[in-house]
Amino acid sequence: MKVNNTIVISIGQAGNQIAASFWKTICQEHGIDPMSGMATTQGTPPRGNWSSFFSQLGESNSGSYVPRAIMIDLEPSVIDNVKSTSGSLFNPANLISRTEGAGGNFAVGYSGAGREVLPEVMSRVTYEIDKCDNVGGIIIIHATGGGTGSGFGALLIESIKEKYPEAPVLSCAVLPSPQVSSVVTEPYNTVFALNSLRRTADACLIFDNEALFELAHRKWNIESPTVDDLNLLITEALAGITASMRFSGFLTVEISLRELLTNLVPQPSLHFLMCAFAPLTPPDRSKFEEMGIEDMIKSLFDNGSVFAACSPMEGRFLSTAVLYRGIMEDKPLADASLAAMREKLPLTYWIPTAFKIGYVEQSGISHRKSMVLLANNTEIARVLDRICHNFDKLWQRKAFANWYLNEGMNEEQIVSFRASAQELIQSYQVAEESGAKAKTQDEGTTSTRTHAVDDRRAPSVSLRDLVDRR
Amino acid sequence: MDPNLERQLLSASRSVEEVRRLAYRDPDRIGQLVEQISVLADLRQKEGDFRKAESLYREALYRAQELKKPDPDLLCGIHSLLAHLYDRWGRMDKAAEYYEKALKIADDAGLKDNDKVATIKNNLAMIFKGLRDYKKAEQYYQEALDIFRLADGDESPRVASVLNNLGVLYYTNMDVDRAQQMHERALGIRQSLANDQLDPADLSQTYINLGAVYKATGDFQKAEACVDRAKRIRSGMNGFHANPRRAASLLIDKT
Amino acid sequence: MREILSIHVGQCGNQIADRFWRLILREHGLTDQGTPKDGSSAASNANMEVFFHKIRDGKYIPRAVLVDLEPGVIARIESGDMSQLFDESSIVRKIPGAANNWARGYNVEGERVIDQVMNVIDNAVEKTKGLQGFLLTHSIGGGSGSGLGSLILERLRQAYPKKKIFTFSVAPSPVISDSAVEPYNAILTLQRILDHADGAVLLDNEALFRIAKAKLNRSPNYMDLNHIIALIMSSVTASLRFPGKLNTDLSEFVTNLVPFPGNHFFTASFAPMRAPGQEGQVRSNFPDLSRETFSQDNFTAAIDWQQGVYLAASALFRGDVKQKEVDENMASIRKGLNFASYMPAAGGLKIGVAETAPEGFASSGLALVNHTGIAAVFERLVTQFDIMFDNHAYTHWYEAAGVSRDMMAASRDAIANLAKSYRDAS
Repeated sequence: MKVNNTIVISIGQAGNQIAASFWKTICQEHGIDPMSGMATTQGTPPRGNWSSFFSQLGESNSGSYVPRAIMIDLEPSVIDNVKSTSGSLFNPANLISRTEGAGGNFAVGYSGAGREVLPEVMSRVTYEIDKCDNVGGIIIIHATGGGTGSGFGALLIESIKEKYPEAPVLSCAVLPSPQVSSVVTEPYNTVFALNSLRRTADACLIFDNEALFELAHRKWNIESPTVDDLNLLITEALAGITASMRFSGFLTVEISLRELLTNLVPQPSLHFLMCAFAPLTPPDRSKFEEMGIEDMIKSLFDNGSVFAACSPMEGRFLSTAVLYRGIMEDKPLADASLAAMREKLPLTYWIPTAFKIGYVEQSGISHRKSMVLLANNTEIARVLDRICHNFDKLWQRKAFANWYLNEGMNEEQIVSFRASAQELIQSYQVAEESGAKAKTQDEGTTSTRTHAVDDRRAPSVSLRDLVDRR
Repeated sequence: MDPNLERQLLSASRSVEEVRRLAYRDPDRIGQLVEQISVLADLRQKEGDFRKAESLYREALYRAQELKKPDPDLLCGIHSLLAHLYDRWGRMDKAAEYYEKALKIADDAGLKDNDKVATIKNNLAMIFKGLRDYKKAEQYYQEALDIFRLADGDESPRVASVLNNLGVLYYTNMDVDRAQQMHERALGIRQSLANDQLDPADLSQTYINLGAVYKATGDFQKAEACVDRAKRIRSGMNGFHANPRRAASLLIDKT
Repeated sequence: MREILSIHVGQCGNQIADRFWRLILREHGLTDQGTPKDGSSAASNANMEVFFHKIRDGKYIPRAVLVDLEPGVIARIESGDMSQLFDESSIVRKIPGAANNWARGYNVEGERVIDQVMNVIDNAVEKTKGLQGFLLTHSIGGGSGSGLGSLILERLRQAYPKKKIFTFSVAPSPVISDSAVEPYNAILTLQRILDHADGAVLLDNEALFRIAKAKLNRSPNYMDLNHIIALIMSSVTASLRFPGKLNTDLSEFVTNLVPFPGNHFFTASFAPMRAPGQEGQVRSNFPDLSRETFSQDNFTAAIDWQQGVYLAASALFRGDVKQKEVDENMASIRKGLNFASYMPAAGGLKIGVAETAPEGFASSGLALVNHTGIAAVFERLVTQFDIMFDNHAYTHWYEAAGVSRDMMAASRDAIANLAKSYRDAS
């Protein structure tokens, strides 16, 4: 059966570590051996719509299944590690690395060493796209704190959208946090990457290390969470989000990437999403403890559960998607609880129907029942604000700026990138404020919403303007 | 409706259904499907239902476009079938569009100079003439001529046809001298052809065209002679019968 | 003669097909492969011709065209009990789906597939001798059923201007939403239904859910909801397929139900609703049956009963129902319905009777009603549409796929006017 095919491109250290964990997980979900790429049950094809994320080598059921994955890094250690721990799963031509690294510098990834490796990467991208029956979308996994994930990530997304404008591109971006940080120039790298993500990607799903750290610490009771722990959380979320692209069934609602984006992105500029996952039982206990549906939903929408350091319930939900996977006997209960929860959410009155619910019958590997929340919530502005604040502290003194100026960036560019990030924050603030109008709005004739909203921090921007800005 | 045609339609319809069933499971059958669809579409055109024919060709086109390994020959063929349909339907702009698409496919695939391409160029030139783009018309006639020359030789029937068409084009443009050149050359070739290679209708057509040209130059005697020859050839034929034309075959102008 | 061709578009449309054809097979004594069951007295062949095409080896193939832009639902039908039933040449399935976007279903994806669909329909029509018309099942809130469904409606009307087109359209529910952009999809589709269909039965999942839950003793799933829709569809065409007095067929339904052009949106009710297996146990007497049939709670769309009136109603009773009972009760039924004041006292209500009830039922009733309260459905959709549209919410997805804001606004105005025309008809 032909299905939409999705390509996963991971960039940089964090991106590739997460990707390795992700592929291992979905191999298990589909019944593919993560070392050899063969189906675990000899002679039968893997479970589910495996061809969405895997292509097949060899004709019959005894062929091997190759992930539609491309991994890129400007320094060799992570990819070498992947090569040595994943047997013959990946196509070696798709694992691309160099030796120098990006030195934690966006500019190196974007216009230095990154530019050198771009042609090879694009040729692999073309190869993978040509193998697709239909390109459902491209998922980019990268962190914005370092140099490769941010710089090369930005370069690659721009190149892909230029060559394949029709293909939906979702960036899964890990945002840096001082608690998990390794690079002091993270704020610079993130703000520069944000510019591309804002202008060229179709949507960007944020994983905020600051929130993930807290979650691993509080909910999973880990004293000093490591990067591996955080990546586990991210993998759970990614598996849940992609589940509806990878399985079909009688009661399963198949949701393609484009469909998800259509529901979640109300205006081209407002495409920064956050997610949450439930249940957050620690991994060692998840086999023994199971959360009830109502508790799971409550946990999902709890301010402390979201993978971004902010409080969604204090902001406004522009659009929401809840993807539920697992046994369906609880479905009516889930429907009822979700409907009840929906009443309590601070929704945006001018998007009355943006609450999408998806179901996948097939469970994930760690929980019998689980849920993922994907939300376009105005509180994302707070996360971005934090990053910009750290940027401003450094930039005020031009600390470390030389590294970028020496690599070909200039001051105007940097200032404009910073301004672009500020515009993004503003647009979310405007959306938040306008979203509350329902209570003061006079019913009667529908009026056009062109009047600007007062904002002391910056010139007023109306919603209409947001539409054209990209 | 002619009962023979009706029977043929029914049988073609059934064949298409049968191949659709097979192609449902087996994408390799697409070529077969396109073939059967062309047969049915041709019959629909005979019936006069251009819309149904168009719909059939478009189905074939989209199916062919979905193949994993694109077959440029097939795609080029379907485009020119569609173009030919639009031509007969009277929708010249669409006909030109689809012939040009067919050419582009052939070009991209490196099938630049085969004679299918030449046929398309000839047909396209005629359409541009109808659309009054005389420059393009001449260009494409010339290209077609060059290809046929290379493929068939300077004195071949197809070369004569294109020369005839060029002559008509020049005549339309009031370039009588060149028109005369073309028709005289065409005549030379056609006169020298053996009986099995020549369609008497074509020969008589050249005489008529020449006649028109001579009249334009003021040489009424020669004009008269030509028309006489043409009449004699025509009456010698058992009723004026046009050569059955296959889809996308050469169309000879009849002015 | 009098054949009907069913066209099922999109996920919802094909899920309905799954239930509908299962039901029809049983009503006509056929197995899941389309062969007559041994020992059952299959109803006389002539009636089978309405929905089935008989081929040489005694097998019956449904006169159905299944279309979907996502492979899932059709794949499930093909791997299930009815895998041998449908004619593969009548199935059109493509990827990549319409992504909940009417514009993609109508333009981008619809463009690629519409010729094949129309050719398949033409083929199916050629196998009929006296085609009555078409039934279209789809949802109007999604992407395929709405967008591609709209395109099919337009082309159908163009190709077969004299045939009747009836739709069974699942509309977005007031409270449970399936997608963020369903008001847009619904309004764009409703305009095409307004322009090109002869009659449309609007159904919404929430009402169906409520009815099913009240009558079955457990929480219903989508199969149950689609089963109700299938029962309704079966009854609408029952008098064409089974002998009976006072036959009501597609044309008559339309003539009797549509007083003004454009006001051809109906709501339906089926009675009795019982848990499966219990249908025949309680034999309703006729007054109870007719009361349940016309009970406002039993109708499958959320319309405004209070501020509206009946414009027309048609009912069909099947099975163990005597003509005498119908005649006797007709007047009192009529009195109980709040008809528009300008309707003659005894007019506006047409009741038909057919002999054979759906399998397992002793008797059943169907009501198809044209009520001005349907305006509430349109008004609700228009309000949601306006609030999103004025704020440019999601419209860029439509513009990117070739549907301009002007086009959307034109549809919105058409439906707003439709709602007004219904209110004015009170």
